[in-house]
Amino acid sequence: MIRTILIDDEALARDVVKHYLKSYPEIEIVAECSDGFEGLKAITLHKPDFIFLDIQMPKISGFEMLELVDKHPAVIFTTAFDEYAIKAFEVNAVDYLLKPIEKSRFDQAMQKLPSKLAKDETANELLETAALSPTQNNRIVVKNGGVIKIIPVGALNYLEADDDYVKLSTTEGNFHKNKTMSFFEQTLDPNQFIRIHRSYIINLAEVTKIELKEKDSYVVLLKSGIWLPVSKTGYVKLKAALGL
Amino acid sequence: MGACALLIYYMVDINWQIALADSLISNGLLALGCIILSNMLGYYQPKRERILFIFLLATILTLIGIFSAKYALNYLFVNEKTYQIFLNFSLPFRGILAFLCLSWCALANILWYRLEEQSESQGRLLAAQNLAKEAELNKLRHQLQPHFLFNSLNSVYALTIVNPTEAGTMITKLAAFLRGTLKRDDEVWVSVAEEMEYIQLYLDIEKVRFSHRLNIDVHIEEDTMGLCLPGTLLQPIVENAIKFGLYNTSAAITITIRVKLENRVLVVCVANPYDPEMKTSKGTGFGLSAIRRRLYLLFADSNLLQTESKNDNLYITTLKIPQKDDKNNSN
Repeated sequence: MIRTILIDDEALARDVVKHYLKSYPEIEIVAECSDGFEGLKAITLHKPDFIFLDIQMPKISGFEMLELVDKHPAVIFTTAFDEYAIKAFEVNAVDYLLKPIEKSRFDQAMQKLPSKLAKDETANELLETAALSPTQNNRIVVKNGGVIKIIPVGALNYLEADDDYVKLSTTEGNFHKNKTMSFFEQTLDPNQFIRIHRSYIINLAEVTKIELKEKDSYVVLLKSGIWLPVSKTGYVKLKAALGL
Repeated sequence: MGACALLIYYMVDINWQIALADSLISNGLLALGCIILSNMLGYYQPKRERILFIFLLATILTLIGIFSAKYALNYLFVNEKTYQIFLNFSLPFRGILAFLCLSWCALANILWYRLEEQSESQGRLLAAQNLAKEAELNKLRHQLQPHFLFNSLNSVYALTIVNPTEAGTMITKLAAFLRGTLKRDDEVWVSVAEEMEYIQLYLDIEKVRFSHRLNIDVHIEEDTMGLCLPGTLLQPIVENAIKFGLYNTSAAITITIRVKLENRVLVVCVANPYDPEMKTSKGTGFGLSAIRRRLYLLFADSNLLQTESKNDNLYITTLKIPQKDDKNNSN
C-alpha cells in the first residue's frame, strides 16, 4: 500500500482528490488535514509516502509547513491561483495540480508518482521551491520544541551562523532554523538586512552605532546592546546601505 | 565684433581705436539686450495674441541700446567731428539692425520654449495614460479575484460529484455574483437592499466552500433599505473580513454585519474575529488602505472608514456613507 495524506483547508477540495483516488486502490488515505499545523502533526505521526498539499491555508502556508517537516514525503501541490507558486513549481519541475483539477492531469501526476517515490525526492528541491514564493519574505516559521512560532522579519535583530543552523535573534529570544546564511542573505529584503560578516546578518533598523575597533576593523552596536564584528566587505555594504 | 570694427575702419576714414570702441560698445549692448530678452521670456511666455508685445519689447530695448551707445560714444570721442557725423548718420541703420537682431532672438527663444513645453506635456500625458491603464488593470484584477474565482469553481466541481443539486445552486449564485461584480463602478450608487443581496451572494459562495466553519449574522435596520451607497466599497470590506477572519484560522467563526442610520449617515459595521499571532510584519494594514483612498476620492473625507480591534480579538470595520438627497434621487 502507498500511504498518503490530504492537506487542504476546503473539505470539498479534498473530496475531489478523494474521488479521483477511488480508481487507485493501491493508495490509502491515512489522514485528512485542514491546515498546516494539523498536516505537520499527521506527517510526523503517519510518515506517509506522499502528500497532496494546498499552498494557501490558515495559519501557515503549505510551503511553510514543508520547511518544518524533518523527513519529507513526496509532494503533489494543489493550488487554485498563486502566480508566484506556479512560477516556483515550473522552475523546479515539482508536480502541481491546478484547481479545479482535471482528471487526466491528475492521472498524469499519479503515473509519475512511482518514480518520484523511488527517487526519494530531495527535500532541497521542495524547499528551494518554497523559498521562491514571496509569501515567505515577510515572516519566518520556526519549530521550537513542540511549539511552532511565526516570526515577522521585522522582529529579527540579527542572524548568526551556528553550525548547520542559523540562529535567529529576536526580541522574544533566540530560535534556530535549518537553513544557510546565504539562503537568508538571498531571501531577506536587502534594503533591510545586511550581511556584515561571514557569520552575521543584521537588521538595519537595529543599528545604533558603528565604531572603528582597530585598524581596518569595525564593530557595530545593536539596540539590544550587542556588539557584532563587521568584515571589510561587510563594512562597504553597511556604508552603502546607510547611505554614507 | 572684430569684423564690425574692421568694416567701420575701412569704410569710414577714422582711426582704429574709435572703430574698435564703437563696435565693442554697440555690440556689447546688443548682446546684453539679447540676454535680458531671453531671460524675460524664460519667466514669462506671451500667448499667441501678445506677440506684438515681443516686438514692442524689442523696439524699447533697441532704442535704449542705440541711445546709450550713442551717448557713450559721443562722450568718449567728443573731439572727433567726422566720427560724430558718421555716428549720427548711421544711427537709423544701427537701430534697424539691432531691432532685427533682438526680434530674431526673441522669436527663436519663444520657439525653443514652446517646443520644450510641448515635449514635456507630451511626456506628462504619456505618464498619465500609463497610470490610467495600470489602474484599470488593477481594478479588473481586483474585480475578478482570481483566487476566489478558481477556488469557487473547484468547489462547484466537487459538488457536481458529491451533490449535483447543490452544484446547480452554486453555479447560479456564482453567475449572479460575477454579473454584479461586472456591473459595479465607483460612479454608480446602489440601494442598500441591492448591495446586501450582492454581499449575501458572496457570503453564500464562501459558505459553500467552508460550510460549517463560516457563520453569518446580518442585521439590516428597516429604514436603511432605501438608502444608497457606491457599489464598490462594501464587498472588499467583507472580503477583507473573510480573509483575516476565515482564511487565517481553521476554527468556526462568525462574521457580523450591521447596517443602520445615524444622523443621516448610513453606517455599516463589519466584525470578524482575528488571530493576533497571525499578523505579519506588515502589521495593522489589513489591506484597507485602497478602500480608504477610494472613499477619499469620492467624498474628500478620510475618516469615513474606521477600524478598531477589541480585546476579545474582534476586528471591527465601520464604513460611513453620507447621504446626499440628489444621489438618492438620481438612482
